[in-house]
Order: sequence, then structure tokens, then C-alpha cells
Amino acid sequence: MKKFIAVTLAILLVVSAVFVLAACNNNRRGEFVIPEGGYDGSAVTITFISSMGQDYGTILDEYLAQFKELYPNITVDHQRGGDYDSNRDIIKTQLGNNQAPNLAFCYSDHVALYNRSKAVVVLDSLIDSDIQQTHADGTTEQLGLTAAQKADFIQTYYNEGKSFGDDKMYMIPFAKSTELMYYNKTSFDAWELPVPDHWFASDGLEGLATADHTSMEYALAFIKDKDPKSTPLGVDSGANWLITLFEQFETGYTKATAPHYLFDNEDNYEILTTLRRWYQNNWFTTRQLLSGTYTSTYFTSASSDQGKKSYISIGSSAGAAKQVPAASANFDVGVTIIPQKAANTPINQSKVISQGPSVCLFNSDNPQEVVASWLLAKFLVTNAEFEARYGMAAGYLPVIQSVQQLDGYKQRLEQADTKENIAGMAAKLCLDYKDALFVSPAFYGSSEARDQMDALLNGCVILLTGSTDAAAIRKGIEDQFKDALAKCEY
Amino acid sequence: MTNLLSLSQGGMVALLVIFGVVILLELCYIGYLCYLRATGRKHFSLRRERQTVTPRVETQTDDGFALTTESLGDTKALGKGVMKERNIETVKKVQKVTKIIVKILIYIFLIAVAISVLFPFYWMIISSLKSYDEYALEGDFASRVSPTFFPQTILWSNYAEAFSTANLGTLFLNTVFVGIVSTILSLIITVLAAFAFARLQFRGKNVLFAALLATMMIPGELFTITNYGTVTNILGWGNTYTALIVPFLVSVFYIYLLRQNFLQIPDELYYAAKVDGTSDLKYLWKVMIPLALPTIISITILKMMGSWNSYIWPRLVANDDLHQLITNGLRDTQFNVYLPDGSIDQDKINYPVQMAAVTLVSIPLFLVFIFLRKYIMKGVSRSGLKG
Amino acid sequence: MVDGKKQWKAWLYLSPVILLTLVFTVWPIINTVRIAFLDDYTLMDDVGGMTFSVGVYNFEKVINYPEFLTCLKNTLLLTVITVPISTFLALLIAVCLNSIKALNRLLQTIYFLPYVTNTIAIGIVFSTMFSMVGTGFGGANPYISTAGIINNIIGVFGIEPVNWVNTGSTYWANMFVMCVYIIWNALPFKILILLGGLQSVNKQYYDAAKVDGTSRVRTFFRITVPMLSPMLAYVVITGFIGGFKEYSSIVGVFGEEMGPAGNEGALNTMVGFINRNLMSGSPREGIASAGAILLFIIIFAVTMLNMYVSKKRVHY
Repeated sequence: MKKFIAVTLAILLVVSAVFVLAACNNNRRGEFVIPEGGYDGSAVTITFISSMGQDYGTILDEYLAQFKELYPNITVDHQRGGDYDSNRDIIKTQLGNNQAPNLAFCYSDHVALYNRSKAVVVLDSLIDSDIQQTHADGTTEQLGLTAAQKADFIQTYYNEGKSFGDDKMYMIPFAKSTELMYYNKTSFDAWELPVPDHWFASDGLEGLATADHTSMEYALAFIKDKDPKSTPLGVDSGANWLITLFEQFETGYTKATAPHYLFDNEDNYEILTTLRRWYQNNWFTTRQLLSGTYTSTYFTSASSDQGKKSYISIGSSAGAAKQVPAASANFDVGVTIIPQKAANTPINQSKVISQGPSVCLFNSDNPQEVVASWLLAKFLVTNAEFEARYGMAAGYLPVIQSVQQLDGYKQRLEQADTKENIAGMAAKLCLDYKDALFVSPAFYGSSEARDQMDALLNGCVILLTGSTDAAAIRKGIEDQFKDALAKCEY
Repeated sequence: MTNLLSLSQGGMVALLVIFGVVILLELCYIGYLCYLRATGRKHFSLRRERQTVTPRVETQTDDGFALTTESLGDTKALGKGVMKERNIETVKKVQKVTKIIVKILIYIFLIAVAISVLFPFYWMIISSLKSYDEYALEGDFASRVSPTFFPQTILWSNYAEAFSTANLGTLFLNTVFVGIVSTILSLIITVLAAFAFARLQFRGKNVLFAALLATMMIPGELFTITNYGTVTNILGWGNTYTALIVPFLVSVFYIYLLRQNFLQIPDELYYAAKVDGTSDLKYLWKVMIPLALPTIISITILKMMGSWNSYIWPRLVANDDLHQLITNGLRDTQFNVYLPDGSIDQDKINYPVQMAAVTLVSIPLFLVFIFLRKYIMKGVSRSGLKG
Repeated sequence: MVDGKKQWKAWLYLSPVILLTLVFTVWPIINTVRIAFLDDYTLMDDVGGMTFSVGVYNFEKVINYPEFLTCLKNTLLLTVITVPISTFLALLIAVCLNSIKALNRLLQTIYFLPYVTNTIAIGIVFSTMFSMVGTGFGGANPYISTAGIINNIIGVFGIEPVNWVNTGSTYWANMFVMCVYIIWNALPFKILILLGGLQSVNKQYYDAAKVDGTSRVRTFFRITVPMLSPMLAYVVITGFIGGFKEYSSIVGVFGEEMGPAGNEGALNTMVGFINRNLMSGSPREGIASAGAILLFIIIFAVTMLNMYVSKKRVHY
């Protein structure tokens, strides 16, 4: 018996020792150093995980073929992953396994996660490199970005790669989207209702009482009055809405360095108190509050029965195609920037959230793979033609400004006044408002904060249904904030 | 949420009290059983009967209760044989009527339960055959206030769509492959171990067996965390079939089940075989496995069902398209409604197609169950009998 | 029978089990304990070469986490509600089923069907059955286009539609749906085992009871229940263990948010808590481990109590 226990313990010890030793075997640390001469033309295979569906993937395949002509010895293994979160899980699994793709689509949240294992390549040295690389046809290109290429990027998109609190560049933008306001132009014109350009009434009055007719407050009350069975406003992402509001009113959301969470404050309680009142009046709904139904369904529908009709829809520019009215609902769609803090806010002081995939590189035992991956990433994102075609197909916005010079894209922007070309209108608008874009900070836990914003909005607006007891509501909202904060901070 | 928070102080105490009360009730109940046993044993000497419980499952008919009531009248009448004949007849009549009423009530109850058990399945199947408009009460159905109980037009195409959208083909193949391989390997391991525990003598046997049994009590989540690290980080099995199969090959429950079964095979057979010079493995193969076949088949099916239904582990270790299993694939897939021009309307989740996918996933298990019902039920109930 | 050769053989036969158990059961236990006591351990940090100090930080975090109490409460509630009800129902059904001849086979098969279904898939079906269609739920004047099939059915009996699972639904409505689903799910196993037990009760007892002129109810409580006590104990113990591990049924009905919109996480359970820490965008394996250890302690205590009680008292 004693012998048995002794033997078991001995085996256990050996097993644990093996595991502990094995766990230490790790060689993916440290900053990336560019090998002398950059890419040396050796044969490498690089793995690229994207989130492109079959349709867009074929566009990519064309450009991968072009890349292959420039660098015949670089073979790209393009893997179409699932949605962004499942890509994250795949890469997380691989990193835990000391493996990684060479480059992948990513969001800043994901990079914050990957970077815990120090697997993500810091791009600064690559971007700044002036090594000349020779193509197969004898032409050359600079390994890093030229000054012109750098300037071509829309700055907010480019700077998102540095939003990790340490001023290092971890990702390069690939394609972006932003939130826009779509409105039922036909009805707005018929009612002679001004399109709202800011959220809350400046005189503090509620509903139709306010004299601030360009506020969302007035517009919602007005529409509800005209069509009592409607839900005037539909918001596709509750979290984006709150994050944008907190940014616009400068009341605090999160920051990239600790302490990360700034949203628990009086000003934000006030914002949520107003939103609660709006929801209680049936003035708006969100996708989350509808258990997953996109609110654009309501915007594009013809009938206003049972609240299933909205006149304003706030949604992603990537979803512009979804905002096309149903055949039976014959109305024109207007697109504009989302409302701001105050009326007539100039563009450079406006705030609009920016999202969408970037590309990050992973460390590898073979530095040639890293350099080759960089060449591919650079080839794609600085290629105006590719950016334009991919952007138009997938509904995303190109990250470089030179796409506007391309005929195809120009045409799309110029035709941006018909109801069929809402995507074109959206794209044009986004270029006009490129100085208004902002990104939310990324850190380990920022995705949790995002989830909590959805929960916070949902929790606050349904709070104490029917009650007008201001003190109780205030207390309830404060509790919701404290709860969300505790869940973020734990 | 606010309610829950205010619960945190007094709430915990209250919960513990509720919990305590339930445990107390349980104790009372078991005490009552104990009392019954103490008094009951005098009449029926229960303990003796327990020793030979196994073969009884097969020999018992399933109408014990019906017989009981029927003969109750007879014995009563016999016991008090001096009673007038007319009286006996009245008593018999009353008993017969009561019996019929009770029977009817029992049937009503059982059928009501059966309906509530079946209803979700019914709903799943008819929903899977509806059009989106009929399901969501939009379009032509917008004026209805309640869903239709039977689809007005049956849309079999939902099934084809589900199959192609969710990539069910690959998911099915993956799941079947993982299921079959892990079942075969698991059976080999289980049979050998059960044999060793049931037939062979070795030092430390009881300790080892007890230790294995004790692991049954530990929640699987406790293993998940480390095994995830082990499998991906150390063994390098991330996104492989191996990761889906190997960690779950040992099931103490099945070893236990089979050992109990092996123990019932008389020792004499083993000694006889030994005298004949039969090797252990041959004896195992020729005698024990055939005799324990029902249990082995039950284990096979339970194991298959396990891999069919597993969710968390596959999600963690094999989340690429190539190795995804059915439950994960189903949960991840968005079934969208198609617009007339063939493009996807991403706003609407096509619930009927989703239901069709769920039905497709459930059907293989139903088929297995219907064809192998006897073995499954025997396997599950045997585990209970020996509990 | 103990001789050298046999010993060697036995260990050979057991070697796969021992090896796999060591790697996938024993090592995880050791490692979980290790990770749980490493402050704020995460796998990504570990891969990144970070070192962690030893302490009880993770346990403090788990206990101070606001949702933890909710998880514990939900787990306990679901268990103490569903286990007794499903056991009682299963017993009733088994006894009734045992007393009839016609339709017996068919009914047995029907009752067993939920056992062979996918918990998450049928959870989605339950969710659609209870779900209302419309907008503005949780607001002052919601628009309901369809109350859902369950509400339609209970409407026949004059009951007002209830918001079971949508935005703004109450905790107890959610809880009710979950209990119904869990009981529906748990019945087959229990019916089967109790039925097996009933069929193995020697008919001599019933004959003896008849001779004594014992009433039907009395027979039930004095013969059937005591004779079934081992199976009842088994069903209760496994029910408790299963109840403490409840997770996928809730994912099926409410999705991984573990609650209706506006009350996310309201129905989260211990296992849900652990999994969230494992699978979120910022996983924290150390906290998950601490949660798993706490769960184990609870299950262990309850199982021991159950076992102790039944070993001492149940008629074997």
C-alpha cells in the first residue's frame, strides 16, 4: 500500500516536472529585428488568416496572384477563417500552442490579447526601414512605407495601430467602417422636420416642448406624435452608441493605461437617464433589445404596425446595403453624420466611432517569414485598386485616400444621390468626415468593457418601467454603472 | 440586477437557510425510510431478497401494479369466505369500477406527460417546414395573432438550405469520425481495465479503484482549464482530431459499469478456462465480452451520444472549420433570409432553417435510439440499479 | 491468486487508464490548484514568459466579483427546485407506467426521447416557444405582434401572456422557463432508473401486502418507496451533481449572455462563470481555476452529505 502511494507520487512528480520543463520551451519573445537586406528572396510560405467570405476572397486571390509575380518565392497560404471572434479563438489556441499564423485580420481588442504572449510584431522598424527590395521583374520598392504612402492613410485609421498605450505600432489598417445616421428622407421632407444634428435639447425641455428643433429629442417626439405606432429610432449597436456619446460629451469611457475604466460618473448617469426616458416613451430600440434583430429591418419596412417601423436608423457604414427600403416601402433614404454634442459642431470637433479589421503580424522563428508577411500586408493596404474593389464589394471603407482618384470609385461617389446607391452615399460621407473619426482604446479587458456597455444600456433603459420617481431611477442607474464597473474591473 | 446586489448581504444567509431546509427535508425523508425499513423488515425480510437482484430485470413483467389490485379483491374474498355471495359481488363491482377509473386517470396523466414531452419536438419539426413569413407572422401572415399549428405550405427546401448553409456535411462527418474513433479506443481501454479490476488480483487494486471512483465527483470544468493548456501548449494538438478524442478516452463510469457486469460472470468459468490453458485475453474475448455485450453496446451508444452533444471542449480546442463539431457549428452559423434577387438579407435570422438544422442534427440520435432502444435503456437503467 | 505474472499483467491492462488519468485528470487537478494560487494568472501571459507571485488573489477576486453570488444563487436555486420536482414526477410516472400494459412500450420510448437530444439545440426550440415577437419590451407600452405559442396555449385557460424570455422579462419568469426545461431534460433518466427499480421489486412483497389487505397508497409508501430507495438516492445524488454543473441548457435558451437583454448574466451559473473566464476576449485562467476549485468544494460537500445520508439510512 505504502509502496503504491510512493510509486504514484513518484510518477506524478516526473509528469509534473516534464510539463513544467515543456512549458518553459518558448522562443517567441523579444522585439523583431529586420535581417540585413530585408527579404532575401528565399522560399517561404506564409499563413494569412482573413475573415473574408467566399465572394470577397476571390478579389483577394487576384491580388495574391499579382503579389506572387513580384515575389515568386513567397507562397501565401490564405485561410478563410470564420467571423472575427472565432478567428480570435483560433489564433489564441494556436498561440497557446506556440504556433501562430504569419499575419491575420484583427481588431485592437484581439491584439491586446495576443500581445500578452508577446507574439505580435512591432511594426515600427519595418515601417521606417529604407531597405530596397527587388521584385522578380527587376523593379524595386522600399521595404518600409514611403512618406507619400504614410500620408495617404487616413490618419485615424493609421493611428489605431498605436492605440495600445505604449506608442508602438502593432497593426496596419485594412478596411474600416463607421456609424452613420440613415433617415427616411421622404417623410422628413413631408413633415418639414429638420434632420437632427445633435442629441439633447439645449434648453433642457422634453419632447415637443423644446424649441431646439434640430435636436434628436425633438425629432423623436415629433415622429412619435405623427406616427404613434412607430419606434422612431433604431440603433444597431447599443455599445457603439454609448461609447460615442461618452466620447462626444467627453464624460469618459476607458483609456489604454490603468486605471482603464472612466465611465462611472455623474455625467454619464445623466445621459443614461435621458436615454431611459426615450426608451420608456418607445422612441428607440436597439438590436440587443430586440434579441438580435437588426433594427434596419424596422427602418426599411413599409408597415408601422406594432412598433415595427422606424424613421431614423443608426448603423454601420458597412451595412449601408441593409438600409435600402423594402420594395413595398417607397421612400428615399438620407444619410448623414450621426448627431453630435451640440448643434452645428464643426467637422474637426465632431466624433464618430471607427471600426473594422486591421492586419497584424506574428513573430516567427524565421525572420524572412515576418518580412515577407510585411511585404504582403503593405502590398494589399497601399494598393488603391485592391482597397477600392474590396471596399465596394464588402461595404467597407478604404483606408487610403488615393482610392478617390480611381475611376470606379469616383463613379460610385458621384452617383451617391440615388436611393439604390446608399452604400455610395455612405462611402462619400465617411471621406468627408474622416477628421471626425475616433477609436476606443484597446487593452486587455476592453472587449469586456464593450460587452458591459451593451448590458449597461439595456439594463438602464428598462429600469423601473413606468416609474417617474426621479430619485429611484437615479439610484437604479447608479447601481447599473457600479455593477458594470465591478464586472469590468474584477 | 439591483435586486440581486442588495441580496448579497442577507441573501447569502437566506440561501443557505433554503438550502439547509432542503437538506433537512431530505434527512427527514430518509429518516422516514429508515423507520419504514425498521418496521417493514419484520413483515417482509427485505434484505435477503437483495442478494440476487440482477436477473430480475429481465424476468419481471411490467404489470406488477395491475396484478396487485386485481388479486387484492380475490384474496380478501377468500380470507373472509363466510361473506354472503351478493356482498362479494357488490364489493367486486365497486372494485372493478374503481379500478377502471384509476386506470383511465393513469392513462390521462401518462398521455398528458407524453404530449408535453413531445410538444417541443413537434414544434421544432413544424417550425422547420414553415416559410419565414409564416413563422415570423410577417407578409401574408401579418394579420394573425397566433402562430399556425401546421404549416400552410410545407417548405422542404429549408432542409436543403440548412444543410448547405451550416456546412452540415463536414460537421456530420467530423462528429461521426470523432465519435467512432473515440468509442472504439475507449471500449478497448475500458474492457481491459474492467477485466483487471473484476478478475485479476494485484496489490493496490482497491485503492486504485476507489481513487478512480473519487475522480468521478470532480467537475469536468476543473480539468478543462489545464487540459486546454496541456493539449494546445504542451502536446501541440490544437485544432486536431486527437485533441477531441484522447482526453476523454477514460471514463471511470463505464469502467465501473462494465466491472460490475464482469463480476456477475461466475468465477468457475474463469478457472475452467485457466485449466484448459486459455489465455486471459482469449477468455476475455470469447467468454466475458459476449456475456457483457448488452452493457458494451450501451456504453458504445452513450459514448457516441456524448461526442454528439459535446460543446465546450470542441469549442475550445478545435475551433477551425476543418475540425468543428456539430453543436459548435450549429451555434455559430447564421441562417439568413434570402431576398427575392438572391442576395442575403442579413437583418433576418431565418428561424425555420435554423429549426431544420436542429432537426437534422437530432435525427441521427433518434434513429439510433429507436433501433437500439433496448440496449440504451438497459445500459442507463443498469447504471441506476447498481448506483 | 497473487503471483508475479498476474501483477504484471494487471498493471499492463490498466496502463492506458492510468497513463491517461495521470495526464488528463491527476495533472489537471494539481495544475488547477497551482494556477488558482498564482496571482492573476493568464495563459497568454504565461506563454509570454511572465512570472506570477503565489497568493490567494484569484479567490479574492472570485468572491468579490458581483456576479459570483448571482451564479451561486442561480446554481443552488436551479438545483433545489428541479431535483425534488423532477424526482417526484419521475417516480409518479414510473409507478403509473409500471401499472399499465397497453401503450407501455410506446410511452416508455416517448419519455426517453429527451435523453437523446442535444441540450443546446432543444434549448433553442424552448426559447422560440416561450419567446414573444414584437418591440419595446421593458418599456412602458410594448407592442406585441405575437405572444408566442406557450402564451397562446395558456391564454386558452384565461391566463394573461407573460414575458418569459424577452427584454425586460422578470427573473422568476426566466427561472420558470429554465426549470421547465431542466426538468423536461432530466425526467427520462430518472424515469428509466426508477422504472428499472420498480420492475426489480419482487412481487412477493405485493402478494404479501394483498394478504394483509394493505391499501394501495399504503403499499406504495411502505413497499414501493423503501424498495426504490437506492435508486431514489442515486437519482437524487446524480441530480444534485448535474444541477451544480448546469450550463448548456441556459446557453440553449438564453445564449452565452446567460440572461435576457437588460439583465445579462442574470441566470449565470457557476460553470457559466468559469467558462466566461476561460472563453471571453480577455480570458483569466487563474480566476477560472479558483472558481472551479470552489465549485468542486461545494459539489464534494453536497455529495458527501448525500452519500453519508443515503449510506446510513437508505435501504440497500
